[in-house]
Amino acid sequence: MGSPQPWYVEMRAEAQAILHLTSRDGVQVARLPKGTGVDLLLTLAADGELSGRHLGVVVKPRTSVADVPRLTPRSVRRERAQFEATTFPVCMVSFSSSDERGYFRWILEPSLENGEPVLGYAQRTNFEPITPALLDQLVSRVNAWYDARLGEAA
Amino acid sequence: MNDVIGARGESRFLMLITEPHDGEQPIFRAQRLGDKWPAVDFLVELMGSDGVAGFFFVQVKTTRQGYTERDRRLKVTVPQHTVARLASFPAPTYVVGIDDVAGIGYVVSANGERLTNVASVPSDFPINRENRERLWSEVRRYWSSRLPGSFTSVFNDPAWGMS
Repeated sequence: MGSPQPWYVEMRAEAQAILHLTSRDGVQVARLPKGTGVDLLLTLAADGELSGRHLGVVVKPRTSVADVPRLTPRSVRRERAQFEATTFPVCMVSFSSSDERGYFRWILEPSLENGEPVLGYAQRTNFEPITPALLDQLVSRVNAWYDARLGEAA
Repeated sequence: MNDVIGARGESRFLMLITEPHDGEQPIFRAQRLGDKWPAVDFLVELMGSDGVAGFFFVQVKTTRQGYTERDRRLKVTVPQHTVARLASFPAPTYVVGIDDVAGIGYVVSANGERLTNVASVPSDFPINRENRERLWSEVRRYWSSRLPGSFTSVFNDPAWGMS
């Protein structure tokens, strides 16, 4: 039997991403049209209201269950050029078509330096497994970054 | 309905209906139809050895409310006008109820067996390998007929015949 077709791998990877990333409360999700750079736009909204706290998600389908996703230096360079003008955090998640395990890495990573919000290219390009703890940490980190931005604007 | 629950239900439906059967190959290919199609959420094609072998429409309803106590029916609501719209389609149509807590989906025919609103769907037909194959076969039979028209589904809600 041949390898699964690209449409199949992509469709199931995106469905897995939506199911994983919305598994905790307080996260809204929107699918974005092809060509917009990110596949999903998460909005952190504890009370379900529009908060403007966005997190872009790029979904990287994996054709093999066995592979832990990797990026080449060239794809990292291309990615950095693509997100040069992006002003909100962006991450990448990777799923295969037949396995529920997901992997995560930052592309544009939010952080705080001396209490100041900083958005920069992620230094680490390796993926880590998606777990409930990682999702909690992700939401906390993005919220902290937006909190600091609001504090800065006030 | 909460948007995120709806998005989760559609994603769960995609995962269930496109589970691989032979090796890594699915027997269905599902396409979201978007908001411009108010009564149906998905067009689902039958994958055959010689290409697409037919198609059907699906309305997905998702809940975290669980089941009725008496006869274990999933508590999802489909309004009367949607039921009537589904029945008017010149193609097989189904309602799929998704239990978002358990990650299970149930299929039931919506081909005119009933034209009033639906307050729950039976848990008789979970989307599993057996029912995917039955679904494929009955839709294939429909499109293989020289004069597709009247359609009898095996995924009938047993309660509808009693009302």
